Amino acid sequence: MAEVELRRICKTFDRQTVVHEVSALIEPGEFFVLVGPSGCGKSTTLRMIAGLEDISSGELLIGGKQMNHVPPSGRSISMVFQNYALYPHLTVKENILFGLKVRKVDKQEQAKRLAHAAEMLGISQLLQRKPRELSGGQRQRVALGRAIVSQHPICLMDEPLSNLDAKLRGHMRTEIRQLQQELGITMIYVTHDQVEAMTMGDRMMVLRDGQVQQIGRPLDVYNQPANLFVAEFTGSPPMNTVNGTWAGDGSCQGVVIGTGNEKAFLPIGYREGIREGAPVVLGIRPEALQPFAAEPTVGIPDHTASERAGQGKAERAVQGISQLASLAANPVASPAAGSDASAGAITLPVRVEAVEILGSETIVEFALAGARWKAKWNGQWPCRRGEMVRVGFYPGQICLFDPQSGKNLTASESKTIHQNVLQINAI
Amino acid sequence: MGLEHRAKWRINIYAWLLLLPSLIFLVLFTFYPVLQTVILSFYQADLGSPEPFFNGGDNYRIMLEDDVFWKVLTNNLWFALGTVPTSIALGLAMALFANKALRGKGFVRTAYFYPTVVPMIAVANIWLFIYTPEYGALSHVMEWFGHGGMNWLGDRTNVMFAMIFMVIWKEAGYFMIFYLAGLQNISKELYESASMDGAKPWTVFRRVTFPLLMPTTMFVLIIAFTNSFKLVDHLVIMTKGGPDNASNLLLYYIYETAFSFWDQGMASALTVVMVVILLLVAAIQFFGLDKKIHYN
Amino acid sequence: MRTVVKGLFSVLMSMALITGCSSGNAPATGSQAGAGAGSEAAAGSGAGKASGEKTELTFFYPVAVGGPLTKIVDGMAEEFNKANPDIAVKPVYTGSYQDTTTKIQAAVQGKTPPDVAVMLSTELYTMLDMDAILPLDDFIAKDGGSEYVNDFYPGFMANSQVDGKTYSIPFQRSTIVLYYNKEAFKEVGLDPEKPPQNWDELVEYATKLKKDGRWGVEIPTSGFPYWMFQSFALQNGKNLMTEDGKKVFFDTPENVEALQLWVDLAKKHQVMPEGVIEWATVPSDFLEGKTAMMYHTTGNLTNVKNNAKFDFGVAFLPAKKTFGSPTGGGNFYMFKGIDEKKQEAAWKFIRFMTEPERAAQWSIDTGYVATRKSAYETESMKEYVKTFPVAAVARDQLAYGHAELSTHNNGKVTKALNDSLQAVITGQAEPAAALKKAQEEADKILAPFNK
Repeated sequence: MAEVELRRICKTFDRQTVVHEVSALIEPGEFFVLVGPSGCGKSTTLRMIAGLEDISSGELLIGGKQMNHVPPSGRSISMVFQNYALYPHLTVKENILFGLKVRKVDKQEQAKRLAHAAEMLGISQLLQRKPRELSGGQRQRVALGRAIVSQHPICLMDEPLSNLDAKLRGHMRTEIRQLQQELGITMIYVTHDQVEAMTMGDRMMVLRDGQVQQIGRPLDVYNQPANLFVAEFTGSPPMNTVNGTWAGDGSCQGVVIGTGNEKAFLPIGYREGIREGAPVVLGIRPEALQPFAAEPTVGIPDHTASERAGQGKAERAVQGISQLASLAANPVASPAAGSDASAGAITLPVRVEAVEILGSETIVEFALAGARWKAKWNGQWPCRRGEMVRVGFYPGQICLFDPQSGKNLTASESKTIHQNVLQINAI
Repeated sequence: MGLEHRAKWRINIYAWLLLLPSLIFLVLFTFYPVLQTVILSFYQADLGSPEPFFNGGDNYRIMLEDDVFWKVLTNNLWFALGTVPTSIALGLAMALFANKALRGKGFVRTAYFYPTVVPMIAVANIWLFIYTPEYGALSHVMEWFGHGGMNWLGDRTNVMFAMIFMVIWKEAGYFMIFYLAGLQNISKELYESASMDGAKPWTVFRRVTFPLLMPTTMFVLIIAFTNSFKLVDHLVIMTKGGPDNASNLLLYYIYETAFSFWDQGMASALTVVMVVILLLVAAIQFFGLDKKIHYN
Repeated sequence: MRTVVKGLFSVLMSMALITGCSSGNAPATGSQAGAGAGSEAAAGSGAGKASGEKTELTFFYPVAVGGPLTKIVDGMAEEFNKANPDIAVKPVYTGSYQDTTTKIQAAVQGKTPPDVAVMLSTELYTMLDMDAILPLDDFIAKDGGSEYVNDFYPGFMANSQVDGKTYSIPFQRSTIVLYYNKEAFKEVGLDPEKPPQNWDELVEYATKLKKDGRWGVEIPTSGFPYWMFQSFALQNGKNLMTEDGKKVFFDTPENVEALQLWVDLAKKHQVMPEGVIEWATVPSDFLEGKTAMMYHTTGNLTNVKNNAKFDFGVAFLPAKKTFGSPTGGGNFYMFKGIDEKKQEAAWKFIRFMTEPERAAQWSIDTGYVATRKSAYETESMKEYVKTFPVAAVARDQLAYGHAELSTHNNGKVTKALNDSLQAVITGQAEPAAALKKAQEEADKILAPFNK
């Protein structure tokens, strides 16, 4: 019965709207992540759910009941704060039991819940310590313990991992997720870290300037970002985006990017609803840009302004690319073949500007048509700055956005969002 | 080895040089006078003895037999007992209110803090008027209850209450400032967490706010206690320690002994007693309670 | 024209003073400038003598009553400097009497005493015990003689003399008088021209005058109640101490009787407020009509005169065996350790400040009682007394004036008496027991001086 519904919820501070008509339905047992950059209103939204902030307009329903004016303690909610909110003068045990004591829960029951929670979290040996004698991770567990013993069906977390170091953060991510599934509680989790959102959530809601950008399963959001903002917010490194113009005749359509001597035409193929000459933003994720061997498919040479896509299967041999291909530890899986622009990969020779080898992957930065691009390749690629390499991608991996509204112009994408909205309204 | 030694030595010299100015002042204006006072307290140096001479513990012996000394000491303890807890409690209450007040926060704080800014001499003059029988402000108020003619400063029992009340009025605002700072140091999350648990305001105060303000309380306690020994300016204006020493305090008695009786030896002995009392209080804070109440 | 020259002169004079003070290595220039200006402006006023080195005097003085007294004192010093170009008196305002004593004590211990100062007349024994002051007999013998000394009212002079030697000269002096509200007298059927003459009448009149919201009489008892009490002791027999300041008489039956009267006024007759009565509020009570009579210092004469909205009278304090009132206030002292030239200059200054004409003006300006009989013979004083006859009451009562309580170790002795008096007033002790306690304490305190 612990579903949470937000109906066009707004928050206004001094005539400034910080949360704007946020609607969502969070199902029982769901791990729901509110994600966005700082100041996007995610914490405020969470605090409105908790009852720590008044709701300016809209409705909050928990288990089907309107909760707008119910005090926090009446909402069957537990909350884990960013700084854990542990009472420094109380021991771990007292901290965990504080809420139960306030609610005058039976002493035996208290002891039972405490033992259970302590065991689950592995903090049984810390119960007599004061918070200042605990490490960051231990404090985090105590805060979780407090939520567990409350046995509320809903748990709110406000950036609970932001005070931990990277390694511990990774560890706690899985632990919290596991805990949530074990207890079967509804979790509403606020974070600014898209990695947490991607890895922990059943669904995520991306917020920006108090407005919902997209709600959906992490992979859907990743693959089909609703708009430019979501596209750039998710993934690391973020999606490459570059301004261009839609061009081409009936058979060969694509995007012209760059200006003057650095112009290039990428034959992407037919996309519904985009008219000739319309400005677009082309987006492609770094992992979609992969190294290709020398045999070229499609390539538009730089320095030739007159060359257009129509004439365009002209290729230019690139010096050293075969050498590079042979050096590749993990050769590209998808073969660079096929003459059909929409089915085959588009490859381009580019000059490497910078390389970061991270061990398991390599980030290669290159310049193309006046913009900087990043590509992420698996494995270790020992290429150097100034080297020429051939990279390629499949047209299906490209996203096109409206430069004005930022909306994803891909038809299937807009359908997905539409579906989501419909889904929400239906429930 | 030698080099390391020299480097260490140089750091030491540097530290000492930095400390030197304040050390010189401390020695010159604190330690040396204290030492002189202790020495003088073993001398008879009054108007009856043209040349001071060593008289052993005579000053202390006479002091212990001196009714006025015991009177001012007990007065001082009552004064402390009357002013310290009440002014601290009031300061805390005012801080809680000033912290909560949504509208006019600045005004409330200023209003509460105002008595602290006024010099003690001015305060004494204000309250001298308030306490005046017949047409004083307090008399006018008391007239409504049919007690207009109360002689606040001229009565042995009233005078102590009158002083205590005035000092509480003056001191509470000062302590409020410390408590406001203390309250600001308590994380808002703790209160939010408590409200998620449904804790009532009194429970929150008792279980969260008050324990977390303990360091502030301890600090304020020391200040308040030493102040109750240090504040005597008002006596000069209001009562001169009278009637019959009913409002006399240790420090004012020291002043009388030194500059009205010209008994430097006895004044020194009294000063030593006062310094010892204040040192004891400081020591209790420093060695005892301090460690138990700091959480972070 | 003359005033312009005069003003110019004083400016030059003060400039000379400043250079004289600030730069120790250029005293010659200062004195020359002063002398030059002096010979031009104040022709023939002993300017020739000024060619030598200038004698500088530091003069400490307190202010104990309201009004711009520092200005008056500074003006008098300036006048003196003008008349004596070879002397430069530097007046230093040193706060209250208590502050002045403290500062002088510190200066004496630091071996840099002021040259001349005004201090409470009762500090005589303290100063003697500190060995800080000079006897003035040689100066008096040379300049003024007994004629000068005898011109002062004996009640004032008594605080200046010990063992046949004179140590101080009265300056700003006061005494206690009875102020009464004539309209209140009329209201209850008393003759406004006949104030109470004795203790019995005091009780009788006060009882008549007492009504709701008005006391019959108020006698201030805060701070220094011994002064008020002394007047009762004097009226009932004798002063509280011996002339040499080595013995006190606190617990005589007469004093017990006097103190019992105080208690009775408040407790038995209920014509006076109970408890300690604040010194400063008594005049306000009188002016507000909250009390029909008050005992207070003559120093309040001007204040009452200016602020009373009713007709008031001033009278002798009611008598018992005799009239009587102690004097109070400050005298001139000269300090040990200054060279002869300075001593001469200081004496000149004291003489100047106590001249009849100046004493009269000082009295008119401040409300203090003029210290000398001849001061009342001056035209200005005659004029003043004519327009304000009550000013003469204080003078006439001086025939019954006596030395203020002053002994060796004065602070402790008076404190012993004060505490006992207040203990009785607040109902903590019986008069006889309290005065006996004060006597015992005082005897103990004075024991070292009676060896």
